[in-house]
Amino acid sequence: MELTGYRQRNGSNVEETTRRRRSLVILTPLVDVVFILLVFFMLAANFSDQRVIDMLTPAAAKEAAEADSIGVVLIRVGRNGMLNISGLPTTPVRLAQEVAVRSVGDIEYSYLVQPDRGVSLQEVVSVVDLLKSSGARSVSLTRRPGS
Amino acid sequence: MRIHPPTENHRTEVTMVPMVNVVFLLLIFFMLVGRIAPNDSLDISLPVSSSEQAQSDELTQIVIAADGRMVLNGDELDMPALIGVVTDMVTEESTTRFELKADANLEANRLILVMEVLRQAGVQELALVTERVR
Repeated sequence: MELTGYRQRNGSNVEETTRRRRSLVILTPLVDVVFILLVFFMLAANFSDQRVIDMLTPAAAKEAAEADSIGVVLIRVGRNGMLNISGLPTTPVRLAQEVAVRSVGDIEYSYLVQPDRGVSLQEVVSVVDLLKSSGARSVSLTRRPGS
Repeated sequence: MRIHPPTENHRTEVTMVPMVNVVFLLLIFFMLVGRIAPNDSLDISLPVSSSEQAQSDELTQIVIAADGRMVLNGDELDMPALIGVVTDMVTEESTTRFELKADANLEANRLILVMEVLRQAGVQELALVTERVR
């Protein structure tokens, strides 16, 4: 060990030592750049898991509803989680059951979700979610006439 | 005595390499996992849903805050301005798919009104952006 160190400093291997030093120097700006990139990606990255729900536009839904009015189910979403299916009050569990039953038959039902005034989007999205997970394929939103 | 400085130098070089490796791994992790998206100019808390459908890459997003303010392509627009911009986009750039990024606390009827207006402006496909439940 002692001998090599001595030789490297004073012996014939001077060139090799300088090369080594130089490679050490070049590493620092690289690390700087990599750190800057790292910080950039850490700050710019968005980790929230975003999804989408496809929506029929209301008018398209209306056309579809008029085309075969036999399979249209109106679901009203009231405040405080009140639910109404075809005019009858219901609960989320019963609503899911009814939709599941309907999705088995031949008729393709389309569901119109009609929120009352003051109902937040989250409540409506929850109902749409419930319908889709129970087997409803065509779900659309509609306003109350005149509201 | 003379040997000490070179040995120390050698040692710092050795500890540097694994650190650089780790930093590279972190860099690659953040590059792959993170999704770089433009910042919303409005403060939005997305509605939560269990939808599995992934977002499309071409984002033509209309951001709607809880108080009803709307932003498209970074510009805050009121309803008539929105109709104009969307009509232009539909006719000139043939954009037909729009994503609505609305706040969870927005009144649902207001969103439906926007959807109706978009439909009249010629929009074919609409999707609602939600956040996945964890």
